Amino acid sequence: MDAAGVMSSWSDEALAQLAATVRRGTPWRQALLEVAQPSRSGEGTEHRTEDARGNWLWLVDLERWECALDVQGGIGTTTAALSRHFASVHYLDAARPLVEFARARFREDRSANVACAQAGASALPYGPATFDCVVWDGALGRRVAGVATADPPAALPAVLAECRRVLRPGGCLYVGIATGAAPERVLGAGLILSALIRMVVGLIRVVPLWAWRRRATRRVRRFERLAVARAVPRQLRAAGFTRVQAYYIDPSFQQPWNIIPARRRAVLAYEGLQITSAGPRRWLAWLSLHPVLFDCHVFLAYA
Amino acid sequence: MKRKLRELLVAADLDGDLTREIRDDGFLILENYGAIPPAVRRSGYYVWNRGFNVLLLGRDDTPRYFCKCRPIADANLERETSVLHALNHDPELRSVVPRTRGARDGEVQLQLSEFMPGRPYEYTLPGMTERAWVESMAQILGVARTVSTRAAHLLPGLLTEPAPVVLRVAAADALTELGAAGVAEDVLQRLDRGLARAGSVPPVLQHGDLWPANVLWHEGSWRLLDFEIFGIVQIPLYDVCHFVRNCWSLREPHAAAAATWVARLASDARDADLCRRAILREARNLGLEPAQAAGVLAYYVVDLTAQLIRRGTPRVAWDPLVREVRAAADLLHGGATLHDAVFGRASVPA
Repeated sequence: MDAAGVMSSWSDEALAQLAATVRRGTPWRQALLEVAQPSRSGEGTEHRTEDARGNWLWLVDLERWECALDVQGGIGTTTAALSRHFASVHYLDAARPLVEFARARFREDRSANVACAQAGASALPYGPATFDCVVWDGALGRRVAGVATADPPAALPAVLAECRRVLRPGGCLYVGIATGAAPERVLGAGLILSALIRMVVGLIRVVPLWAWRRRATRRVRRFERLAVARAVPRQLRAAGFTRVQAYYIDPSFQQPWNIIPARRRAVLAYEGLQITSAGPRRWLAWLSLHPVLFDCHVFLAYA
Repeated sequence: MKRKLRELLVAADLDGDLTREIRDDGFLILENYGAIPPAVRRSGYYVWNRGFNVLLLGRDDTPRYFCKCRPIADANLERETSVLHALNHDPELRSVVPRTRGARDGEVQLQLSEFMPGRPYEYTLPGMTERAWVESMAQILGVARTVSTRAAHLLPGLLTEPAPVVLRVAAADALTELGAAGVAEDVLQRLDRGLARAGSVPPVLQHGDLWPANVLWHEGSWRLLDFEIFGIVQIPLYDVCHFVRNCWSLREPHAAAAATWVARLASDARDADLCRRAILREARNLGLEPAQAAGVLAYYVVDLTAQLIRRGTPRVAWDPLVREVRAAADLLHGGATLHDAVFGRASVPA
């Protein structure tokens, strides 16, 4: 389970209940099962695969593996993965119940190299050049504390600048964005793309079949993911990062079975290995429209 | 890429050009099922961990190498690497198995193979004509037989003992496992008697996971993949049973969902005679009598079910196989022989 997939939709009451459950001494896994809605989250599968969520670190090119930061740690899944690769890991979250839960989790797991603190991602309580790696997982999936608006385009530069500040030269920032979870726009698409999408969605509304109309609208909205693929690297460079690599996670952050470089031929190679890959997917990849094929986008940016 | 992974890849480099030919961000992680380093629970128990695989892309983003990364404690990868490395020495098998080398350090082990392009048999099988299916099955099973024969010479240590394997003795642990999982005693007794009647078979190294997804067609020849459990099973015809069962299920998924494979094999169902003949033909190639073939069939369903139970897979995964076990026992009702029940209807193999 992770911040992006499950917690983003949890109410404040559910988070408080989670913290209260571990405070009573309930083991953290059991507390999660009690508070989460099993029918929606499918813990059985997720618990088996959550450990694999840190394997993207094998793709990261770092000189030092000493200190890492998880800026929006949620229930601590990514922090736990980082703790197996780095000598020391700092967990941060703006939500007090989650910090309480994370403290209980890492105490129970005897993870001596993890320190937890409460803080928002837009004002990191660390000096410049402190970390070798910073992770912002589930970016834009939750409201960012300290940023006056929940508008993603506003949150992104504020947090990226902070992440860049605390990274050592040569350090790496991981940004994970789940576009599927957002019902509407994740990042503002360009004027032309937005206008085109509005026009097509407007035409779809003429169709009387409601179910077809909803499905078609969702498909057209997927093209807004093209904006994520273009805007995030641009913002990363604007924040001072020198080298940016983009990847897709398939099928989801909860089940990160495949990590694919976000390049046309790499996506075509991946689609060629899939038994269920349909013709239209390959055509979209061939036309370099591959961002629309994947819900989960990851960016590795080097300071 | 992490420096450690790069160093291991260079150590396992097959052509000496890996660092030059593979781009820095040319790594595609596939089947990312387990963490490396592995997560350790409080008890210190390492969860069963398949690590992850990496497809290494060349400068033009075309696949060049396939790499399996596993925690150091994984014995299957070590076994597979040594088997493939040995098979690579046989000139006739170079087109059948990928060139492979391994490397390890204190935390991770990897296996680097040349990328084998080709179309998985799994893709093409459902659309094949009956005749093409029969011919392709015979060809693939022939390739598997060749690999098994050559491996016995190249890796003599893999064969646990040269003496014939008594099927009843070999299946004893698996039957006990099934009993513990709730399979009725009379079912187990019938199978035990059926296995005793089949006698013994000579040991033959088996692939262990020969099913259509592990078979590729490329440039006029069949290629086999995934040798992680090669040689663990040494009951001849085991691969044949596994392959024929999976092929038939892929071609007729609705029929496979509605009835057990064993019952369909013993019936007048479409393609049943074709499958029976495929099994008997391979039995004849291996020098086995039909009664022995029937015994192996019973051994196969019992062993496969017990394997899944032992691995701790959820009940939903092995319940269909328990139904196969029961179906095999049903055919033995009233003292009937499995040979008569299954292969009695078979027309004479071509």
